[in-house]
This record gives sequence, structure tokens and C-alpha cells, in this order.
Amino acid sequence: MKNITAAAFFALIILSGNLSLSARSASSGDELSDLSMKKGIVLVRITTIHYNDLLPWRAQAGSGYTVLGLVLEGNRILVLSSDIQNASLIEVWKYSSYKKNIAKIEKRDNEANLAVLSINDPDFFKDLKPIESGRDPHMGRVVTASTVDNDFRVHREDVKITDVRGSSDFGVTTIPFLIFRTQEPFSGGGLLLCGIKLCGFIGYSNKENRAEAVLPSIIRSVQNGSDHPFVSQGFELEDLEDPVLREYFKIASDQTGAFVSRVMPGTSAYGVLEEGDIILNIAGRDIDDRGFYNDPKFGLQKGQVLLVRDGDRIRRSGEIIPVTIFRNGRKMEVKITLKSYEGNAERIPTVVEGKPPYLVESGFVFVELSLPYLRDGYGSSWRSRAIELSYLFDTKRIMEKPGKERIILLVGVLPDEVNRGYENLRSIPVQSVNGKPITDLKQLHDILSASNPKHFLMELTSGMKIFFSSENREMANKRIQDRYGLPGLSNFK
Amino acid sequence: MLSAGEYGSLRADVKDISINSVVRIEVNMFSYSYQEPWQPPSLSNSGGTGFIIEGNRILTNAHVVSMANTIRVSRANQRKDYDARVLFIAHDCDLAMLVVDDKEFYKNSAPLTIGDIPELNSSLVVIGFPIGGDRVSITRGVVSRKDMDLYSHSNIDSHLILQVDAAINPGNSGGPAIQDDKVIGVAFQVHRGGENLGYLIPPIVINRFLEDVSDGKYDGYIEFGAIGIPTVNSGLKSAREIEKFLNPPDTGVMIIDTLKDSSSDGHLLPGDILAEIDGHPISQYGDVELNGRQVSYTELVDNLSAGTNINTVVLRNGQKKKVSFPAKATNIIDFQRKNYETPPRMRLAGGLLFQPLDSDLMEAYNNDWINSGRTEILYHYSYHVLHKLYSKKKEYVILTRRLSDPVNLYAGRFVHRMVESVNGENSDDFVSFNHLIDKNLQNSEYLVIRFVNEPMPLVLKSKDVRESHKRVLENYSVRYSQYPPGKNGAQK
Repeated sequence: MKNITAAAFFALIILSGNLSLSARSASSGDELSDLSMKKGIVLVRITTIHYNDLLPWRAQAGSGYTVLGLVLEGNRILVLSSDIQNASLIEVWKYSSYKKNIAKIEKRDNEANLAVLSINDPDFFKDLKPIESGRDPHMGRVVTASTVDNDFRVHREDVKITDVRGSSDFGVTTIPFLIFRTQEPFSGGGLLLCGIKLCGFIGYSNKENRAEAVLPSIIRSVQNGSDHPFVSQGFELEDLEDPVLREYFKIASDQTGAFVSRVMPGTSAYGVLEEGDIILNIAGRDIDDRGFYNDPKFGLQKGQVLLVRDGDRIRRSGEIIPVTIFRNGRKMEVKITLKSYEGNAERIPTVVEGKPPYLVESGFVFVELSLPYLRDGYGSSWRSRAIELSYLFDTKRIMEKPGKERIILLVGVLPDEVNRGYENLRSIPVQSVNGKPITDLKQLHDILSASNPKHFLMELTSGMKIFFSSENREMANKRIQDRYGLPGLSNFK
Repeated sequence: MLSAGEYGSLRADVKDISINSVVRIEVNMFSYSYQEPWQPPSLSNSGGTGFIIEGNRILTNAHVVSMANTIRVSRANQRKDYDARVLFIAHDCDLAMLVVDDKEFYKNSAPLTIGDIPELNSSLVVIGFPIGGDRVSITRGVVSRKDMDLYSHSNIDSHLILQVDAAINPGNSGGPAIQDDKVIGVAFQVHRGGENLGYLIPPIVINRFLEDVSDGKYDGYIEFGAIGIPTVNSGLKSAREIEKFLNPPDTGVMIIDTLKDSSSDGHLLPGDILAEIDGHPISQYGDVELNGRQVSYTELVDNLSAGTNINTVVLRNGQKKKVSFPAKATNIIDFQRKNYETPPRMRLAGGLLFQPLDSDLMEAYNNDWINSGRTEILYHYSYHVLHKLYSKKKEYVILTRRLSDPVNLYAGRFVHRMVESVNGENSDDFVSFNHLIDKNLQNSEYLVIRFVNEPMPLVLKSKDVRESHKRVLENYSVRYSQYPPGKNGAQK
């Protein structure tokens, strides 16, 4: 929900302050009072910095937006992790005071896309009280979606949970989200309430008011868990409905199951499942031909969800899950030991936190290929404008085994006499230096800083060859740093 | 600026004799759909210009008569038109030679002769039958530029071109540009982005074509095939010891690669400094002096015929060396050449349409592939040569369509994917793909096709595919399931 619509949302709610009645049917039973609601939330203003991936030493003031934060036990505040990405300042205020307080990030979980904030002033929480956490709601249940405007006026409307869908939009872990439609936009976030209890944290709302909420079981898990509470799954499933294909794989006609199309390194499934396996059963539940199981609460869900969730309980690292697979024409049992994602599956990162790493050497600027780079450099149509890089993204993004290697790009040249003749090179992957494949910036830096040999030959994937001379290197680097006002020739250790 | 008086004194006057030798060409041409490649070709009419040369031949552009069904020609002053036929067609330089069998056509005509390459800023007239009227049209201009540039007919060949500011319009194609009563260019393309940017094929390219066909067949252009970069960089100069070995020191381009099977392949090596070519010293930017003007060194070797020796001097491993090798052609980039000769190649199996990836298929599906994120197809097409992808596959095969049928109910997900293998065997080109399909339909229980960057295989029962054959052809009115036809002829 981090976008400019946040401001528009608040303006709209202010204009229609009495919406809260019109959008609701007669309330039934207990419901959370406006005051209890206001005590359970804060408003969070986030200001971001935008890093230019093409001139990576430059930072620009980014956008600012306001979202709703949930008060947690232990004087903590819950927000979405994606909302505080590249935040330069996080301000928090509550219903009872105009005072703005500066928040600190305590914990982030990018897999669950949740973050926990703290406030220095312990008195801040004195007149706040966390809303009691309820059970995960059933699919089809009508619940109350609720939020506040900038003046803490409460808006409520009844919504129906229309779907619960597993998504791994923020990482490699597939987590179920509640999906529903609202009448008013909830682009600044909000809560789902089941009576007086919390049953969802609204994290995303699109232009058509289709909204998503995080399950209360997941919030509890992030709140109580260790730094990386979330267990990963790390595999993708493909349909196996075609009877000819099933016959070819020699699966009995009454046996259901789905095809493992990818296993990601650094995840629970890595080293246990293999591409081409057919998964028949996970944790005692049958997997159908499309990779789903029938969840008593949520209906058809992706099989992966069984590895993170056991009823309303979120599974923990170390749990061992039995999985029945079909491999090489044989049915067999394997055991997946759950663990959290180690963060080493991506060769081309989809999210870059903070300053993008760079290296300037003899005026040649090198960066790591990432999704933000593709978007910054080529706009939304990057797939048609950067054919080689898009192909790398589509085929080489996930590594075959855990590692930290990256694709290094020569992004451009700061013209100087040492790089004369090469000024027009743009955005080409580096293949090797003196025949050695280049897979990270530090390695590249260390190779080029050696005083021997006298010349280094860099080859780009385009076939272009660049000679670096160790003789006048330092002088040239200093000259270029001064002329172009670079804060440093690199920004990594 | 030219005054009106000066303008009148320019040399390009047109005598009746020139106009009399210019020919209107009307063509009824075929065109094929790459989306429905089994359909009979559609027919359309178009026109162009040509001119009579020595030996009762007509010279025109290849694109005027490509895929021609019938060709009718008439001279400016003739009331009747005549059937013409193509003797030679050269798609790589957009020239064609026609002949009219009825001798009456040539009566009282005088052949035009080919002149020398014109000077910059010298004036000329272009004669032809462009849109805007039925009678012959004459337009004037000057030579604005001479450079190596792309010939858009094949879309991959670059040769010398003359840029002129005469108004060249559709229909002018193939018409002569005249200076001093001689042909100094053939009008052939325009630049859509600018104004008054008309292009002529220069005498050097015309003469090369005439010489090439003099033995009764057209061989085509050779490819020098070396990719060189300027050597202005001081680090490069010192690493390759240019200053120590070459005089003057601002000499030579560095070879970074050679095209497979081209003239220089295996003779020039990456890292070589190419210092001299056929006696001409090459500058650090890759220029040589030719008749007092600076031209790219590639222009020197562009017009050589196959077998001619190219003599170079290179700096290699700290030694100046003479390296000679014969000029020859390569077919490594031919898949990017537009096809003007044959119906689209295709193979239908189990209602699934497979087509080889070439320039025409790319044109038909480029947007679909961009929109559906099929980057592996775009990448293999664009980087086949540069990244030497041909070492894995000579030609790529794409599943482009599914003609829905019970046999292919679950195959929809594989449409617009690139074939990796058939029953475990690498499909190296379209011929081997067809061979593997035939073989496995006969001998294997299943046809198993794997696609690039797709873990799931497409599995069909060979028996089902064989049985679906007639049904699919009938339901979709498909004329044939395979082009070129297989061993058993065009099976129905």
C-alpha cells in the first residue's frame, strides 16, 4: 500500500465523516467501541529516500505517506515491512495527543511482510491498549473492516472474506492472506474486527478496493517469535491434470498430486525435494492435481501453506513434516525439516534495501543487477527494452545452490582520459577479468586493486574488451572522484 | 546558397533517350501469413520502376519483383505492356535483373550505361513511376552523403549507399538516377523519420551485381566478419604495445570477435590489432583513405567476390604479422534475413503448430512475445550470433499455435514456448526437429517435447497424434501439415 493514494484516502474520509453508519448493517452482539479501537492503533508517517540505481551514490528525497499501525503487547507497534523500506524517518502519533514521536525499527520480517517498531518514550503507550487477538476467520465470514482518518475519526464497514489466497509476493514463502472488497478505499491500512477481537491487519488495497489482510495467527507469530520466525517452503508446484502426462509418469489413475517445478536454495525443501518430483501428500493431507489441499477453514489452498500453518497455529523452525512424493516411478516418503529462509536463493535481488552497492574504477561504474535497477533504468517496459537483462532475470534469478553471487553490470562510464574510447558503453554484464568469472563487486574491486599484473583485461558479455592499467590507476581514480564529486569509489566494505 | 542562375547550369540534364529506357513495372505478388502458414498465399498488386541495360536486360530492385506472380512492363512511350520474368534476384543488395521475351518491347530503346560514383553535392535526376499520377515522373536533387548503411529489403545487409535530397516516393523503386546521361544510382529506399532523405544504390554495388551474375548465377556478398573496436584508449594501447610496434602509433582497430564461418573467422583472433588491409593503413577509429575520402575499412572489403584474397597486417603477441585469407560468405545470420523465396516453413503435429524462429516469424509474433514475457525467444533471436548460442542450437523451433482438438486439451500452456528437445534428443534445427517428430511418432509410445526454461514436458500419445491428423486438417481446412514436405511428399 506504499503509494501516493494514501494521501487521497485520508482526504476522502474527512469529507465523509459519517460514513460509518451508512456502510453497515445493524450491528449484532458485542463490537469494539470507537475508543477501544483508537487505543489499539497509532498513525505512522513514513518518509523515504529513493536511491538512483543508475547513479548509485545519489540519494533523493522520496515520497512520504501515512499508514495505520497496530499497537502490540510489550509497547510495540506493527506495520508492513514493505512500508518502511528505505525509510529515512518514521513518525508516530496517537489519538490523545498531537505530539509526534520518532519510531525505531525493532524487527523486520520480509517473508511475512511485517515489521515491529518501538518508541523511546515509555509513557507513549500509557493510554494505549492492544486489541485482543482473535482466531483466523473462516472464508465467507462477514467481519468489520475499520480504519481512522487523520483526526482519528473511526470508519467501519462490513466486509465478507471472499477468498484466502497463498501469496509469496514479498519473498519466497507462500503465506495465506485474507481477501475481501471494501466500499471505501483502505489504502492507508486498517483492521479487521470479529466482534471485539482483532481478526486481520489490512495491508494492501488496490484501486478497485480489493483488499488483503494479514491473518492474526501470523501477527502473533511475528510478535512472539525470534528474529526470523517464519519457516520457508521453497518449492513451486505445477498442474498435473493431463491424464496422458500422469500415465507417462506412471501415476495410478486414482492418485492425485502436483509437479514440483522449482526448488529454491536456502529453504526447507532444498536438498529434500527435487525438480520433477510429484507431491502426493503433505502432513497427512492429499494434494490435488493443481497443487491444492482442502483446508477446513479456508477452502482450497496451495499445498505449500501446510508447511507454515497447522490449523490456527503457525509452525516453527525444527518441526519435521512428512511428505509423500513420487520420484522415478516410485512412491516414497521424505521428511522436510522446517527452517526459515536463509536469504541466499536470489542471484538477482528483487528488493534492494538501502544504498545499492557500487564500484567506480577508472571511471567505469559497476553495480549489481537487480529488479530495482531494471525498473530505474528501463521503466515499466523493461522487458522489451533490455532483452539480455530480462532473459537473465527470467532464467538466472534463482540460484541452483545457496550462494551470494551476483550479476555485475558495467552500468556506464564517467568520461575521463583513462576510459577514452569506451564512453558509450551502457548496461552490459561483466563476464570476466583476466579469464576469471566476476560474481561480486568486492571480488572485482580486489582483483583490480592488485598492483600486479600491469594490465587487466575485462571482458563483457557483448564481447567488448576493456584494459585496466594498474600504473596510473590511483591517480585516475582520485581525479575522477574529485571531478564527479563522488562520496567514495565504492560503498561496500 | 545557390541562385536560380547557378541552378540552371547544373549538369544533370535528361535526354529523351534516358526517359525512353525507363520501364514501368507492374507486379502481382504473393504474400504468406505466418500466423496461418498453411493458407494459400494472398495476392496483391504493386508497382515500381526499372531501366534497360545492355543485352536487353532490365535492372530493378529485388523488392519490386520479390514473390512475383506475374510481372508486366512497359516503357514510358509504349501503349502496350509485356510479360517479363526474373533472371536474377539479389536480396542482399536489393537488385534484380529481368528479361522480356517479346523483342518488340525493346524496339527503338537504347540501353543505359552505369557511370562512376558521383561527387558529393553534384546534381542528378531520378526518373520513375511513383505514386501521384500515371505518367513518368522526373525529380531533381544532389548527392548529400555517401556512407555504409542498412539495406532494408533483407534487413541485415549493409553496403555503401548514396543519400540524395530528390523526392523519392513509392513507385520510384528500381528507377535510375541519372548524371551526364549515365546511371549513377538506383533509387531504393527512403528514411521515414526525416524529410528528403532518399537513398540510391551506388554504381559499385550495381557493378558488383552485374559481374556476379555474369557467370549465370548469383553468389551474393562475402562477409569480412571481424568485429573491431577503436584503439584510442591509452590502457589498451599500452597493453597491446601499439606504440612500440606500429607506426604511426594511432593505427589499428582491436579485433574483439569474428563471425562464425566468415572470411576472417579463424584467421583474425580476438586481441589482434588490425593495422592494415589490402595495403591501406587503418586509423585508430577504423577508417581508411579511399580516393581522398575517409571510409570505414569494412567498405574496402565489402565488394570482393568469394575467393579473392584479403591481405592484412596485424599486431599479435608483440609481433607484426601478415595474415591473408580468402573472402567468403557465411550463413550464420541468415535466419534474420527476410524470406522472399518460399512459403513459410511449418509443422503441424497433434494440432500443435511448430515454426522455425526467423525474421518473418519474429515480425509476426514480436509483440505477443514481448507482452507475454517470452524473453527466452527474444534473447535467442537477438543474441544468437553475438553470444555464440549457435553452438547449442543452429535454429530454434517455437510452438506458435494450438488448433484445439481432443489430442491437445492440456497443451495450451506451452504455446509460445521454444523447443528444447524431443524425446530427450536435442532438436538442432527445423530439419532435425521434423526428423525427431517423425521418428518418435513411428517408434515411441509417447511424444515428449521439452521446452526451454520450462520444467514441465509436453507429453502426447503418438497413437493419438497420428489419429488426430486427418481430423485436425479437416476441421481447420488445413492444406498441408508440413512445409517443406516430408519424405512422403506433402502428406494430406
